[in-house]
This record gives sequence, structure tokens and C-alpha cells, in this order.
Amino acid sequence: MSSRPVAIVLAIAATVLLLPAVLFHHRPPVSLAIDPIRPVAAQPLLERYTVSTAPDAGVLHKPALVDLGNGELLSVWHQGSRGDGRAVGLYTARFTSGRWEPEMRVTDAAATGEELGRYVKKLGNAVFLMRPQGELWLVYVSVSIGGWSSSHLNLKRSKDGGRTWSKAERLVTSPFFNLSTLVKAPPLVLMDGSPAIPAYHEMIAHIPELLIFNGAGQVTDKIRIGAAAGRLAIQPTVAVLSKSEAVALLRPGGTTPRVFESRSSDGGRSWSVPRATDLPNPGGPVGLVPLDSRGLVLVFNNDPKKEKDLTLAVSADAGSTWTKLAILDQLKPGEKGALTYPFLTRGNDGIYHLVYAQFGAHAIRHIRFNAAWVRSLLDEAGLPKARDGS
Amino acid sequence: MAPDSIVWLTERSGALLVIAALGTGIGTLFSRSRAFRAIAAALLVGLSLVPVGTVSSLTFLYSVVGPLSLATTIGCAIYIGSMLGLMPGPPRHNMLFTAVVAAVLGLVLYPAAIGLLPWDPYRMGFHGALLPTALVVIAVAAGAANSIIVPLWIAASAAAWQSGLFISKNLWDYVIDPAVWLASLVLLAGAAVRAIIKHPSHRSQASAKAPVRHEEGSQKQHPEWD
Repeated sequence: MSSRPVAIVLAIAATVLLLPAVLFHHRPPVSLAIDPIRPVAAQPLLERYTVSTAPDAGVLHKPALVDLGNGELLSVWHQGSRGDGRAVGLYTARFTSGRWEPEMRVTDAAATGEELGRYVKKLGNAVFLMRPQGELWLVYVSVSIGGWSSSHLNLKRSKDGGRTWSKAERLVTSPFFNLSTLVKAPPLVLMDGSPAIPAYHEMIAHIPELLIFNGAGQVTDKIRIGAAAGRLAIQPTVAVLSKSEAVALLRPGGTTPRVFESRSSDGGRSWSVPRATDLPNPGGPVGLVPLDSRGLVLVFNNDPKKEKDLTLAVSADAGSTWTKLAILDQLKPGEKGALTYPFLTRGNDGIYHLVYAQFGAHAIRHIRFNAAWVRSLLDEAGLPKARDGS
Repeated sequence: MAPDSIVWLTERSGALLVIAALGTGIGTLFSRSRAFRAIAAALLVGLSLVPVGTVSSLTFLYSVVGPLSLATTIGCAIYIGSMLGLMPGPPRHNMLFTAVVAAVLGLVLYPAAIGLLPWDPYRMGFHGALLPTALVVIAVAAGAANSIIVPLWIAASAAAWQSGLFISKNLWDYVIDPAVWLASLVLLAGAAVRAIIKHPSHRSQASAKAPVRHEEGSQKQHPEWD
């Protein structure tokens, strides 16, 4: 095994194979696209629904939602027995003609494991991603050994708006046995059309990230939200305000009971180190969506210790200051449980949709409201109106 | 992109070769017979395919470690080949040089990539010229230094990456994995301990009376692996 000609031939082969990557490595820089502000109805809208209840289920948690673009919404959540991760599945329900249809089971640990040809112990958070051609992606967390910090990501595709799904595919996001990448927040789109999903790493360190995908559903880049190390913050949710400016709000990765914040001023290529804001956080994610070019809508648990309410706040200065406008839901005095995992998104018609889990009641709730309702709250509070761009 | 069936096979080849290498190693503990080692390897591979509960141990290992890099594939293949007498064992300096390269690459990648440092070298495997250039430099330097394993490893990794033989689009995932990084650290630590023990100042009087024979000219067929 020590022949010089062979060694040199192999070195030349390696050079030739890697030369294209050296010479043609240039790619357009990452640039997050703005979600256009749609015209909204003049009349204030606030409606409340129950997506699903399952009194017998030990776990009913981690909801997400997508606007299918045909007037329908699709929600996904995590439901099953608390003691048996293998019995927990992902369920979806469809909102059509003003009501939520009965839920459907999409997959569970055993089915995902069989489709992947791997052992899967339990499933976790899931988010939808709508592709321009109408294909719907479901990106979801699974665990083979250990806890959530040793998670993997998987992808399922649907060509019929979530009625049927392809087999699960494994996504590769990390070099350390592909461990520890999770998702929670709504996806984004780059200027070139590539999808991006806010994600986070929580093995040893707690690092928020942005995963970039190609059209085939492969991970092609990963950007850290904040060039820092250690236990910072997780579960980023990102709002794009302009071609250059974006803000991320995050769940604390350490013991500081505050919402964390990171900002980008170059379209998402680089981010400031997450820092604590004045907003309290009991250890859960928040929902964040743009209201206009400087305005933001936030839904969060307004308590440093307990997820006992969900509060709506707005900012007219890109998140520098916040005005609490309304309590969207709260536990009754003495009521056990929690109002947790808010997922806030804006539909194609400009209506805001909030889904969240209500522990105790074993329910997934849905609240929809519009910018006119938010403006009416601003009027009542005597605060300056946020511009809606319409 | 390679066809799905090829990707399915190549993704699992690393875990399968690790089990085969483990079987060969166990066989080596009990016998110097190549046939015995081959039977031990085949037996362990066969056992790994038997379902225990819902999945086989091969599937479980693959579930945990995922696809292993070309470094593991080539390392296991060379180990099995040399232990079964199918090829000569690699010279010691060649192995140590390979272990140093793997250890350094792993040290650059893993601590920072899991969040212990404020930058992410894993990104270099998605795009940019830095990682491919560094690998070219390493391959050329290794070739000039008469090492076969390192340029073979890098050329194979680059070919697999260009062909899309794994699901990953990241060059790092083809070049190195944590298993081979940890193995290289263990190999280097063992070599360091051996070097310290062999140092004249550490030789006992008794061993000084019976001088250590140089491996050069030794009749042992595979001095490095045994």
C-alpha cells in the first residue's frame, strides 16, 4: 500500500473530482423574500374554533397550520398516549366552509420507521410548507434514541392538499450522526423561490438556525441565527420586514424567562446574537407575523412562569417596543392545564390564523382575526394605527 | 443524483461494514485462521439481519449512526481485506497519517458544528471553495508523501458526493463521520501511549536485557492490525 505512482494517480483523481466545486462554487447569496401584504376586509374579524378535542388522548400538542390557497386551511398536530411515544401520531384536520372537519391520522413512529427503513421511537413537531406548484410538504421531527435533543427531520409530500401523503424521506441537517435538528415555526421563502424553515439545534448547545431547501426537498444550506455558541435560544419564528430587514423572536435556551430576539439587516445572511427582550416567557415558543413594513403582530404567553394566557401584542417599530392589545385566551381561575405552543401565520387572504394547544381540555384551538380588528384595538387603546399597506 | 435503490444500498453499506469489521475483529481474538475470521464476520452480519423485536440490529445501528462516510467504508474494507488475507495490511506510517488527517478534520468540524464555537464549519460542505480546496491540498500532499489511503479516501468521497450516493448534499457527510473521527483519536492515543512506553527512558532493566526487535523484517503478516 505504498506505491508512489498509485498515490499520485489517486491524488490527481481527487483533484479532478473536486475541481468543479472549487471553480464553480459561487451561488447567489441568501435573501429572504417579503410576504406581500394583502388587502384586508374593512370589517373587523375575530372568530374562534376548536380544531380537535380528544379527552382520552394523553398528548394533544404542537399544532401548525397552512393556507392551502383554495379557501381551505390544513392543521397538523401531535396526538396519542403520553406514556408511549410509539403510539403518538401526527393528525391533520381541514378547515373548509367555515368549519373544521374530523381529523385524519397521517403517520406515527412505526409507520415512519417502516417507510424510512429505520427504527423510530417517537414523533415530534411538524410544520407545513406550500410549494408554488401546489405540492404540500410536511416536515416533522422524529427520534430514534434518547430525547428531543437527538431528533432528526423527515419530509412527506402531498399532491392533493394533504389528503394522501408520500413515504417519509429523511432530511440531512447535521454532521454529528445527523442528530438534533427540530422545527416549530412557519416557513419562509427566499427571493429565488427556495423554501427556508426556521429550525434549531439543542444537543449540548442551543442554536437557532435557518434551513434552506432546494426544489427537490433537499437541505442545501444552513444559517445560524446569531454567530454565537452555547445555550442561547431555540424555536425561532421569523418575520421579514423588507428586502434587507428581518427579525426573529425565540424561546430562551437557558434559564432567563424572557423572549429572545435576533435581527438581520442583510436579508437573512447574517443575524445578531440573540438577546433577551423585556417580554416574559415561561419556556415556550411565540407566534410572530408582519403587520406592515415596520409593524409586527405577536402572540405570546405573558407570564414568566406559566402558560396561562395567550396575549396579542403589536409593534409599530419593527419589534423595538411592544403594545399589549388583547388577551386572546386564558385559563379560568383555578383551571388546570396550559395554553401552549402558539403557531401564528397569515393566510393568502390576509387573515391571521392562530392555532395552539390547550392542555387540560385536550384541545387544539384556532382563532382567526384580521388587521381591521387589530386596528380597532389600537383605536380603542388610543394608539397610532399600524399601516396595513392596503 | 443516483437512483433511489443505489442510495438505499450505499447509505447502509457503512453500518454493514462496521458489523463485518467487528465480526472479523472478534474472530481475530480467537483464531489466526483466516477462514475462522471470515466465518465470524459472516455470522455477525447474519445475526445483525435477524429482527430483535421490531427491527434488526443492523437497522437499529443504521437508525442511530445513519449513513457512514467513505472514511469508515474504506477503513473497514481495508481492515477486513487485510485480516482475511485478501490484501496486504497498510504500512504503519500510512495508517497514522490517515488517522491524523481524520482527527484534524473532525476537530475542525464537530465541536464547532454542535454549537461549542460561534461559527458553523458544516456550511462549508454545502457550498464555497474552502473545503474542496483544503481536501485537494490534503490529497496532493498525501500523494506526494507516498500515502495511498488518504488520496483514495478523498477521491472516493468526492466521487460519491458528485454522484449523490447519499441523501446528503453536504461534502462533509461523504468525507468524515463521528465514528471514524473517534476511532482515529483512539488510534492516535494508542500510538502515543505505545511511543511513550517504547521510549528508552521508560524501558525497564529487564526489557533492556531483551532488546525489542524492530518490526521491519518481522514475519507477522499484519503487524498493524494484530
